[in-house]
Amino acid sequence: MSTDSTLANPVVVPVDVAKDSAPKEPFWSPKNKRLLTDPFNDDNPITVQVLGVCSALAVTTQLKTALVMSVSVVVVMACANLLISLLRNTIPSRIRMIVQLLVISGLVVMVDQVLKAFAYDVARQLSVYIGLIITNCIIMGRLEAMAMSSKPAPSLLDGIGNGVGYGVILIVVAFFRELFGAGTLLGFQVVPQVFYDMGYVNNGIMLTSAAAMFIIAIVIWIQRSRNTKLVDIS
Amino acid sequence: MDLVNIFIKAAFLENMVLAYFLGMCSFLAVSKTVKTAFGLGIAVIFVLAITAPLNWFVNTYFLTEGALAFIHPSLASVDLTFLQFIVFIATIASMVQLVEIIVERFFPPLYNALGIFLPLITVNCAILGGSLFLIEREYAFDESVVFGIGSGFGFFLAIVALASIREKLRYSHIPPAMRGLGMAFLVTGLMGLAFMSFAGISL
Amino acid sequence: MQQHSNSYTLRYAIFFTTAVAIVLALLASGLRPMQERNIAQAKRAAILQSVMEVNKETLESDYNSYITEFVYALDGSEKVDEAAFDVDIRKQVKLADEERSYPVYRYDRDGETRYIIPLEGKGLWGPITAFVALDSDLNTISGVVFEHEKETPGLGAEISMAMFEDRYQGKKLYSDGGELVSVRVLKGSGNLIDSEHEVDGLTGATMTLNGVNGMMTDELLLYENILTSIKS
Repeated sequence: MSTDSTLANPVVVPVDVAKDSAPKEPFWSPKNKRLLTDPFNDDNPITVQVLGVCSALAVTTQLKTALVMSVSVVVVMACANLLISLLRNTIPSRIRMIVQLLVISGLVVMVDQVLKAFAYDVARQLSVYIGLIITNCIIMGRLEAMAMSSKPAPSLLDGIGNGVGYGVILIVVAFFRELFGAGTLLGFQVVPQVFYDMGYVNNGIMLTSAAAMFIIAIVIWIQRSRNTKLVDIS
Repeated sequence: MDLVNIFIKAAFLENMVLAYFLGMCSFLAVSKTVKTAFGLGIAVIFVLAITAPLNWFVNTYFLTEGALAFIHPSLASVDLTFLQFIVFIATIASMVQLVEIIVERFFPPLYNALGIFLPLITVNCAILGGSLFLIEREYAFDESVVFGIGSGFGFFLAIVALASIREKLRYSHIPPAMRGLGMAFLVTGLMGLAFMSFAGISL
Repeated sequence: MQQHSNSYTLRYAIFFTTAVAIVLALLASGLRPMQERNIAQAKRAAILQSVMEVNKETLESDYNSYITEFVYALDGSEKVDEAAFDVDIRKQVKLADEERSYPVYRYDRDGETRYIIPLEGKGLWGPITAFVALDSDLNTISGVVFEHEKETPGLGAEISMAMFEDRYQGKKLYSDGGELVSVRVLKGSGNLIDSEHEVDGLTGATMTLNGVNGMMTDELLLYENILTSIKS
């Protein structure tokens, strides 16, 4: 029997076996690729999982701050996910939050201390983000949901994927807020002076957090119109 | 400063959620029904009311420069302020862990409804924000207790209000793609705009 | 996730927190000298920046050749035995007004004299600092530098942008009647300004701007006697 099935279906069986006996799973398996790509759409951290909203509101008045924040979150999340995943079997469940947070904040504070000593200018630019990164629930959310129960490789990919998915929304929101709120993009004037002379004014509401809520709402609207399986039935 | 003022300021004028837009994730995700919102609101009041004075205590007696002098005079020059973030968040995490154990033991339906957002109270920026604000504003011990309860109450009010609105919205004709989360974002934005009117009041 | 015994949990917690604490403490104490040097350099740069273009290479020599440091008491008398650069204003703010030391930096270059007053205030998340440079008439603001540690990027953090700092240039500290009134920043942005004692604000940075006003008015007014005594 077994030989028959192997002949009839030569690929699937070895893969299944490999999956069960763990470490042989190839790094770029389809399942792992989905960990990277899902957060862009089906499982976006902000618009579907509702994680990391606070920082998405705070740093999106300018495209530049949104970019810095996105990159920092991708790096911190990849490292934290990997570390927690390596430690996952030793962490007692009752103090897991403290351990997770010690890992995240330890990592961030360490990097900050080193930068303050060797690259002070960079540190000054980045240190305002520290609080936002530590309290960014997207990081701890993924640690809880993924890294505590998965192997290091998928956890790492999950961290990167979610970080990038988060960054995409940040950049979209920041693009519109900076464009309509200040008439600039990345600090460069985009709306021509002619418009202002004709009576165009920057929209001050775009610089408030409320405007970020409206833009994210519109993003959700567009996303769910195209991807109807995300629609909330209740 | 008058304690009543601090309470009103923390709960309304400087409402963590609607004025500062802190603690948004759990605010949006757990406001589907008034019942769960109520549960989370109470949990946040509890955690804030405990962690605010606790972190005040830790900061005053351990972290600020010279605070360790009461152990030994030679420690007077030790400045541990760089540990502030880590220590605060560790205090908060242990309190939340405590709440989680209590809720799991005594209110299992609420525990299931809150799901991942119960542990995520730890990284609810409203809570860490509470601790950092009270240090920055140099509140005394009694003021920090009132501030903690006030901020928690503000969060509680806001999340119950949003949940009530969302329950009513279920009977409205909303485009399917905007149902649920989309409307929650929109309504929160509008509530935030409404709360801006408090900004003109000074106590 | 498997269950662990109480003693394992306790041991794990103790081990983990001590490990993190030790690593951080070693890192912090080992890097402290370098960090302090960087902080001092940044302070020199901020002081110079309020009066001139800062060149990183010549920062220290520029500072030494153009800046003279003074420390005053509240009544305007000079405190000769203190070094202005080492006065930690963050700690001074907590003392009674009469006990505090008030540093002033004087900038002399090619016959041009300016006075720089360091100020300290509270932002939303942490302390904010200002260096206010005054022309030799001790009335006109020639430049302001704001520094902050952790204000929200894109909102409160905007105070340290040239775009905001430049709004203070040319404003006056004294009213026409000769009273020290200083300069206030208004709420929100897009205000029409026609006063020498007001500047336009920033949207979404109310708490940070309250801190700016706190130090630019309350703190600056403490310098009244000192300004009078420098003038005479």
